[in-house]
Amino acid sequence: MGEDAPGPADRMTFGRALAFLLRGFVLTLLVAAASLLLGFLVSIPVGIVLNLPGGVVRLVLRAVVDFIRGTPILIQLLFVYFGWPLIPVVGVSLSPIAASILALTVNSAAYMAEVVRSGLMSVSPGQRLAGRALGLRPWQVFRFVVWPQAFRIAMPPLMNSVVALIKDTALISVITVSELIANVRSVVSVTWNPAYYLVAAVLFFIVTFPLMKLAGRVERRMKERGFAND
Amino acid sequence: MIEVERLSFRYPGGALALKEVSVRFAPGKVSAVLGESGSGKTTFLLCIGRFLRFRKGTVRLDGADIRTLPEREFRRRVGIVFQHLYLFPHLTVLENMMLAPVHVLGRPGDEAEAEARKMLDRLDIGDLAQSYPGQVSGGQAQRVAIARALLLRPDYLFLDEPTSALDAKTADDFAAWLKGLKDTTNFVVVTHNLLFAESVATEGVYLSGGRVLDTGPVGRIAGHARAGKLVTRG
Repeated sequence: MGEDAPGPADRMTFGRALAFLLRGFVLTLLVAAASLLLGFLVSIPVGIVLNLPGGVVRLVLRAVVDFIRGTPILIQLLFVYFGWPLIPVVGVSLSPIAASILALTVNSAAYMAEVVRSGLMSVSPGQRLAGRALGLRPWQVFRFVVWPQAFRIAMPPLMNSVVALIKDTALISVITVSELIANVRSVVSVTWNPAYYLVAAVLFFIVTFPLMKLAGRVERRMKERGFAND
Repeated sequence: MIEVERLSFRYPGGALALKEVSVRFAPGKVSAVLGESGSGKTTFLLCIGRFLRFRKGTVRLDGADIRTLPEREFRRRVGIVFQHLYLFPHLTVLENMMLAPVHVLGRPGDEAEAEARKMLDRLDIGDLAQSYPGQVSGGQAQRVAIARALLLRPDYLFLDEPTSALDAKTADDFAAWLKGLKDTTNFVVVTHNLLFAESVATEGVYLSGGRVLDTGPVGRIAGHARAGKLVTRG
């Protein structure tokens, strides 16, 4: 255990344990935020390509997205950290945090690309036609007509992906990142008090619950505006 | 003047949807493209609107082949309001109206907003400015879609089945309202509704099976259609 590790049980007050857990949780959230941001940025072009009618690039991306969505994130995490450095030529060793961000970025990008794709597909072709009829250039049709609608449609499932990824970030403790789960296990091993698991769960819930509520609110607001996707 | 000469169109792998259609839409009057469902009206509209590429025939706008006109110029001069309107549901009515003036005509935002509000007031729908398309009635949405297209000041504005979503009373009101806009542009209504066409248009063309069966005064065409004289042969 490093210098951040909790001390002996007699000196482990609830306050100290909580501070230790919060330090880990901050790291959890930072890794999740970085992965989400990068994953979202990657998911937009991937989602757009997946929405195209054909092409080799689409086929390749389709296969990659399906593979990532069809395999456990834990395996992906272990592979990026332990397996990738062993691959000749392309293999590089990554720090635990870098490996975590890379694996979670790729994983979240795959899920969010699928959401972006289905959002884009939900926008009626007539909307594009109307944009063109008004003289908008193709990129303007996408920027001002298609994307804002697709994003609104995709917003609730995107929020679900965000919540899922934040929870999945708990897994990075398996590659030695001292995030919340690693820290709570340390605390419990010292205090023999499994109630700290509940504290860790509450910390996750404090972050994920508002996001879940936000998704519901976005959906309600769309309905109030009579957002008919025609 | 829009001149269509011997326009033919075939969908890939399908039957001939338009067969040597020739018609002229003169400025200064409301014209009508009439015909039953499946007669080729919408295909005709999509060809004239450059949404379908036709290989046979020509369409000229004031003498120029529309296929040679720059996209922006063509879109500014020939407007289309589709049957399903396609108002942008994520934008308010006012924002729907401002989109093309700002991003196509390059008008400053405040100027575009003032013009849009003026147009909405003129069209008696000023109170809808902050509403979203999903919050307005079918008749109001129809007016908004026309107002949105009129802000580009097109030379011609095609309205595809403008009464299809309106009940009889609303369609009558809409016809009266449309007649009040005659000076804004040259309207061409594409419709199967003979009564509506008679009430708003003077000249027309009747399509059936992708062919022109009759052209001339709308009242006469409607009379022929009702008498069963306009049926496709062969």
